[in-house]
Amino acid sequence: MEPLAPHEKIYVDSEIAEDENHGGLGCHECHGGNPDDPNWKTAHKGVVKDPSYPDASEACGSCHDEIAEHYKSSLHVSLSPFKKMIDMRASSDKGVHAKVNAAREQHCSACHSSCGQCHISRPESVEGGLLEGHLFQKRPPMQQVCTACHGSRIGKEYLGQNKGLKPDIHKEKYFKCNKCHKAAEMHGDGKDYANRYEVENGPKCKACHEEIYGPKSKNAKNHWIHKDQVSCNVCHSQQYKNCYACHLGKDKQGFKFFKTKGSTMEFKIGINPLRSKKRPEKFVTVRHVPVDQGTFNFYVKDGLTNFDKLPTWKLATPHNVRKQTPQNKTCNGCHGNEGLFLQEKDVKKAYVKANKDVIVPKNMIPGKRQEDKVD
Amino acid sequence: MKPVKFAMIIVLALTISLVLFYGNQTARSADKENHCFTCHTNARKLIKITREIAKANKDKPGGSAETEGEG
Repeated sequence: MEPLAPHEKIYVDSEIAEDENHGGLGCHECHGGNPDDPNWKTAHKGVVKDPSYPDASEACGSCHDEIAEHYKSSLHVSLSPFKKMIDMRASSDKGVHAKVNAAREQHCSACHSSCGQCHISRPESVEGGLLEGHLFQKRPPMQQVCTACHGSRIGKEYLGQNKGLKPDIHKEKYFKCNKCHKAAEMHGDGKDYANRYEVENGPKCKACHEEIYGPKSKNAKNHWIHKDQVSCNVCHSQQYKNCYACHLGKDKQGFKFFKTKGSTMEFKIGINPLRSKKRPEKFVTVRHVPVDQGTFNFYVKDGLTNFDKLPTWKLATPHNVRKQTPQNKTCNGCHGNEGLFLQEKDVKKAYVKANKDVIVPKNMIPGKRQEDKVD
Repeated sequence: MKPVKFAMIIVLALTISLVLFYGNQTARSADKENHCFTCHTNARKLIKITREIAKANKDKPGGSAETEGEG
């Protein structure tokens, strides 16, 4: 994503005056400040950069009330799964827990979004800047908004920016994120979900690919055989990025920073840690998330004493789907291919306990097949 | 005829001054409301101001240089 020059970040296209819905609003009605003051320094006193965060009920909700009603439950705003996961791992000592919480607020919670930071500007976490001169964008532009934040993993996968790997087939068909991730998923529905996979309006491959089980499908037999056994990504994703050992801190000047210990490109099949009626598959792709037992050590020692309560390899839906992949080219691309499966040897010794529910025991790895040809 | 003509001139003069007065008022109020708009739609002004700000903040670091790795 091209960075914006400082003046570009705040340049307003005069065309906004012709916006039939928003053009009649004075700037100060949403942003405050003094529109009568010709001195920019004093005129900006009290200006609110993003009037839709943390509360969108006035700036946006006065017209878009049906969306603003559930705004705070949008995972892009609340980041509540983050809190839930860290709370589960955190020490039960109240003082320690409070310090972990404060550090999480300062670091992790900075990556939220809002109505404005999707539809009007680039998100603040990527240094902001107005989109199209403040012209309201009904559909947020993918590379300036979505992959600006979801860049190092999802963005690179989808756009084919990982060396030697192809872009997602949907990208090649010119799909933008919102083709699958609809507004209803993004805007929240009032429910406090434990993780993004629970969101009711989330994307479903079958919504478009229902025919895979039908008589017209070229590959119906294989889809039936693997139905509810493996997730779509197990057969159709390529290698994806796994990150490790995120440590947070503040430098001598008081600026916060993070350090992650490199990343690896791997493809790992694990036991589905979120098996449910909605996600019944036994095997799923799992991605290592950057959390580490020492993530909050700068702020508090032994902050995550309950680290083992959750796996560090988590259910993942890599965004680099292809019809044909090395593991689905032949039966034995996967069957008997032990390296594809997350085993104890792949997991840091200290984290074996945390990952016990996702590690695939040897006896569960499907054995080599004599007939290797995919029908 | 003279008083009628006089009255017409008065009415016309009043109308013109009213139009001018309100027109001016509207222009003035539009001018008043548009300081944010006139400035933020003027790239030249914004470049000048943002350079001023950058100059003033020259020695202030924007963030930590210690961040490492992918977020």
